[in-house]
Amino acid sequence: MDTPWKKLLIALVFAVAGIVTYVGTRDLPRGPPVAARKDFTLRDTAGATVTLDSFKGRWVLMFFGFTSCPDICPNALLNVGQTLEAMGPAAKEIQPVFITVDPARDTASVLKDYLANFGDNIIGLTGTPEEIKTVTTRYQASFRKRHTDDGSYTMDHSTAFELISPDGIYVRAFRPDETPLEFAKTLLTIMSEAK
Amino acid sequence: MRPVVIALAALFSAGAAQAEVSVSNAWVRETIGAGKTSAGYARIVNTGAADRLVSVSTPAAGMADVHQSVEQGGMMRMLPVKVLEIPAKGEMLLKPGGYHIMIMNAQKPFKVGDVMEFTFTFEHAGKITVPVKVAPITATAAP
Repeated sequence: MDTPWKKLLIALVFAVAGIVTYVGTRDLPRGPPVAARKDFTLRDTAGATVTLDSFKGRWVLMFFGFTSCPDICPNALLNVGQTLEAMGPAAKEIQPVFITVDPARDTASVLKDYLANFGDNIIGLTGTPEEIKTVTTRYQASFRKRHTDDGSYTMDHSTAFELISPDGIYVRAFRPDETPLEFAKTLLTIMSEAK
Repeated sequence: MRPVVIALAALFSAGAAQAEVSVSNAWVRETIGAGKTSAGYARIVNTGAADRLVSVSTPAAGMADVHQSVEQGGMMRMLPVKVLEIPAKGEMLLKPGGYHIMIMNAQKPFKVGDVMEFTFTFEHAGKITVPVKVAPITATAAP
């Protein structure tokens, strides 16, 4: 019997809620979207806690991989090294950061020994599986464990390079198939436009 | 029936006779620390009819399979390649970022300068065993 009244009441409640929501949000300041700051908490190879703020004042070139990665990861690490070399002195403003997606095997010492082969400037980060999941999700990176015939496993993973500004704001991702020279030019352009 | 069998036999033996396959510039990346994974690369030249690489093996590792690094849905995956076609009068290059031999469970560390044996088995050319040099992990071509 009272169904029409109920419907009216529900409609009213939604209408009022809608108005309140609209009034409450229309004057919000238009700044950079909050999602542009993608914080994380990880550990470096010395065991120190590292967050996004740890890199304040430096550009960060972040990428994901694992040390038992026989083909793709050495290529990515070499690409970064050659890109930084091609950038000349401006490369000093960039901090390359390699985050493992295989924390079970990539302990701090394994990561340290591995990265030492690719120069002394690449920071290796690891964390708990949850911390790795958080950082990969925030940076739209993905990874998946895949078992191999010999009873071991390998990791499928995304290979984009992520650029973060000295203010900690996410800038953009780069495909890994750019040549070091193209990559260096793009990075230099972005950095000079930011000044 | 018999002519068909003879024709088939002729085809197969012709294929076997014409497969002139050689494997050169074979190398692997060194393993780091306790790592047991590496990747191998080589140049396969075929001066004869089309052939296929069907397997790779080595006493130096538990597994040596041909893989291809491919991008799928934004992720790089190393997909096993069951059979690698070697074109007639052509070549197939196994190189970083493409086709490679994925080596897992190395029996002992691969040290730069070491030489080990890998056997490549082809459908027609049969088994070809070649020396494989260990190069630094930063190498991008045969040492």
